[in-house]
Amino acid sequence: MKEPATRDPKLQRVGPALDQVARFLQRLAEQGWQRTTAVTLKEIRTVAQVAHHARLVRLQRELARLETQLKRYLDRDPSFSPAGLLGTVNRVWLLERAIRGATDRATSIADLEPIAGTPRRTYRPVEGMIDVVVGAAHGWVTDSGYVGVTAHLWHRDEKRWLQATMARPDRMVGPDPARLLRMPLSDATPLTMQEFCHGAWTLDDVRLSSDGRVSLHSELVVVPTAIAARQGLATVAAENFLAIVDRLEGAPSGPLDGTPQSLVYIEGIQIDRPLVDDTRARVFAGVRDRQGRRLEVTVPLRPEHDVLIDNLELCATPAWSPEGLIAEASLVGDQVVLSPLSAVFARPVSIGRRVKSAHLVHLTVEPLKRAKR
Amino acid sequence: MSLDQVLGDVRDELIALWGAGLATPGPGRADALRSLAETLNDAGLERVAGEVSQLAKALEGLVGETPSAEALHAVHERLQQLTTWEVQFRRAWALRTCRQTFEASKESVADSSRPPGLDATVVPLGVTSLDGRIVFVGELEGRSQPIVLHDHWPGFRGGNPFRQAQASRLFQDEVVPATLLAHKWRLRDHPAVQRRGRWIVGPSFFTRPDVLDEEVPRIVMPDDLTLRWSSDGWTLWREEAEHALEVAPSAALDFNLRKQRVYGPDLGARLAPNGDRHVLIAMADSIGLPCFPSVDPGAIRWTQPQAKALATRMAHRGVDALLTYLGCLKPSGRKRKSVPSQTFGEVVAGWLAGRPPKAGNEAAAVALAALGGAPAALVSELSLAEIGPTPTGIEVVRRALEIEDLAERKAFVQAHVVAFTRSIRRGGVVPAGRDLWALTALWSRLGSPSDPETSQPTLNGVPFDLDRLRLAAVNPLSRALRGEAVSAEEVEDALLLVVGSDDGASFFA
Repeated sequence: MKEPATRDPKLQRVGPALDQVARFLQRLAEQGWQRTTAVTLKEIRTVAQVAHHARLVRLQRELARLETQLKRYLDRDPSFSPAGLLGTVNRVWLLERAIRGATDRATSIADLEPIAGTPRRTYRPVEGMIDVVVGAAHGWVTDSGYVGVTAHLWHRDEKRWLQATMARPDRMVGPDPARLLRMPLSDATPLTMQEFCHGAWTLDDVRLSSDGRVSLHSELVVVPTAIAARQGLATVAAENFLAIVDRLEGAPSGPLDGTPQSLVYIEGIQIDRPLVDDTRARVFAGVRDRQGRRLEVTVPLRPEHDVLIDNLELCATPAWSPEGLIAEASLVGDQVVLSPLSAVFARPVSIGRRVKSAHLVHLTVEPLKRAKR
Repeated sequence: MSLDQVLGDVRDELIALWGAGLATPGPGRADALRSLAETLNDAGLERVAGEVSQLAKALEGLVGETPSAEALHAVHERLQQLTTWEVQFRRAWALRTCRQTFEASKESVADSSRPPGLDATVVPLGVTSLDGRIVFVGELEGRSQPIVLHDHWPGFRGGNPFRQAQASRLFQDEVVPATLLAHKWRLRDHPAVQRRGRWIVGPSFFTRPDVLDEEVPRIVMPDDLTLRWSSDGWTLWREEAEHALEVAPSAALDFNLRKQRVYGPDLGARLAPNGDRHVLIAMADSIGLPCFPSVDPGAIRWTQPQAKALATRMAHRGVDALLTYLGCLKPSGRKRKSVPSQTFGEVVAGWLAGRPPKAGNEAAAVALAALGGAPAALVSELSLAEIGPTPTGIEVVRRALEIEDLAERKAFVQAHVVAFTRSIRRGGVVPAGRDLWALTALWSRLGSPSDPETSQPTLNGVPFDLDRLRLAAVNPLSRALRGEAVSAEEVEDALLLVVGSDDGASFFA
């Protein structure tokens, strides 16, 4: 009889971890989320920890998301969405089954990475220099206590989008991602994140991950160059909202892919004056394309969205109506929604001491009320 | 019932089940599921209807007694499968619904497109630097209307920024400013405003000026300005003006005017109004051609005595003295705060190109820190940054030929040409054929100046060492005849030398 191939000892942790996840899901299904208590949250944390030790990264993140959603339910947070919870529970279940199937065929923990995720990205050095131009940027805050600013970079030669993110724990810099704009890219350069987010750059000593993330490490050399941002934006340009639907239909849509989303750039839009819905703790603003089709921008009423909400109000006025909008389009529930990232102004705008002339204003972190024309 | 409503009912049931839990689903849940199955059946979703029926049946089995773990597990599996279907189907359905809605709705909205921009050809007249921005001044061709174009060069590449490629926001490309100013530009639908009779444009997101092949015609500059320097700065006096025209300061301009002083107080320059002051956008250089001293630190060149004096000063008094002289240090020699990321060359070049004086002051400490008291390296970098490219003899010849009226500059050009021919005779590199003919043409325009140093035979009147010229001509021809690889240009030059000479017979005798 043939000897079984030597298996990675780390794989031995996967089976018990998956069992624990399955048991937890079964219990949750039996008791129902209406009977969720603080103990349930503690249990999720424990299960997520087990998943973490078994290097089941995606599962751990989905469990963390489930914990956040159940906590919102317990807190009677108006942003709680039963449909969102349904989706998360289902993804945990699908992931558990998919990883279990892959574990049977795997000989090492690395074989599981395509489906289970990796704890840290591997950044590999890139030979030579690369020319990039920033097409959009946005600030974000995670439930796990991190704030960050992500710049979307168009790689001119490879004609693809990359991302560069500066992230810090909120206990270090506070809950406002806009603060990160004033921080230098690294200890070795006086160039701030805000300056980096406005312009085109030649990057040297680049380290890049397989999913297109540029590391902002201290040896990264950043030199200004001249590339028109519209070169990159042309690749994600949508003539109207129908084109956005086409884009979303073409996005990966498997059960484990999450909601389809796509970076889009659209010109000739009009933004309606935002309306605040206190009951649902959300701000709604309509965006119309050239043919008058309307898409909804929905922004939860949270402190980190204050800048965006103020900016949307200004963008609805004729004085600050942008010529174009760069946004993340996604399918949320039954609706295609836009999450605005950056506004395009044909004539440059001064948005601070360090950026005196910019065509892009990053709506989530740069207040237009302080900008000048 | 519409499919939207059916999907809504499915979601409601799923939420109710997940909310209440499978162990205590509540009375009537199974009946509700069965009813939902019928609705799904009616809507044509038979397969899902079957799933929902099975779920209802399984759920019914749990009611009434303590359910077994296996039974609960089976119901949980069915519930998850139904949830997967619902999420996936709803996603596809939502996109389809959006598409249908968008296809149906085509309201007319107010036109939000941009107002039409300016379409015109710009003849650049000059350039200056204001508050760190680069400002080109030009004229609209055919309309004689002034236009001001604001640009921003986000990074200098060291050396002389005016003669090296710069990343330009306005042109959205890497441009060499010196080359840029020699050609006309075409604006297409460029956003522009008109104020006080001038067009003003800046970088635009959607368009950029195209640099045309057509060169800018040479315009004679008004030559009625007198330059005066006082402790308050530079002033220019125009004869008919009752008051001085104060020149807005720019470090590069100041630097150039210091050099210009030795050529005399009168100069030809083109000024542009800027508020209640004037900015100098172009100037005639030592041989009368336009240069742009506000942004080009090498626009006016050191005279030989000046360069020698500078070198002596550097040698005797060291780095501090030189930096003080250039304004990088306070007279007391106290260092100012540093910007360690910039190289000294970049800082000096930036300072010379008209960045605010503060940046220049920072240069000193950077330079001293970076060089660690190595004046030789500093001198080397500084000489590159300050003096700019030294004109070669043939460059003077080419530029002088472009000047229609050489009367005023004749002495200067003549001195250069005589020195150049001497350098060839003394073993300097023989220029290419077409350059030699340019030299002879200029020699003739200058009235064949006599050179007391020589009584050599001449080529078209220019005293040369003819043996060297013969070699220069014969060498490439003989190599070409032997079948060696010689460029067509080289052969052409050699033939020009042979056949283009008035006294070719004696030349190749």
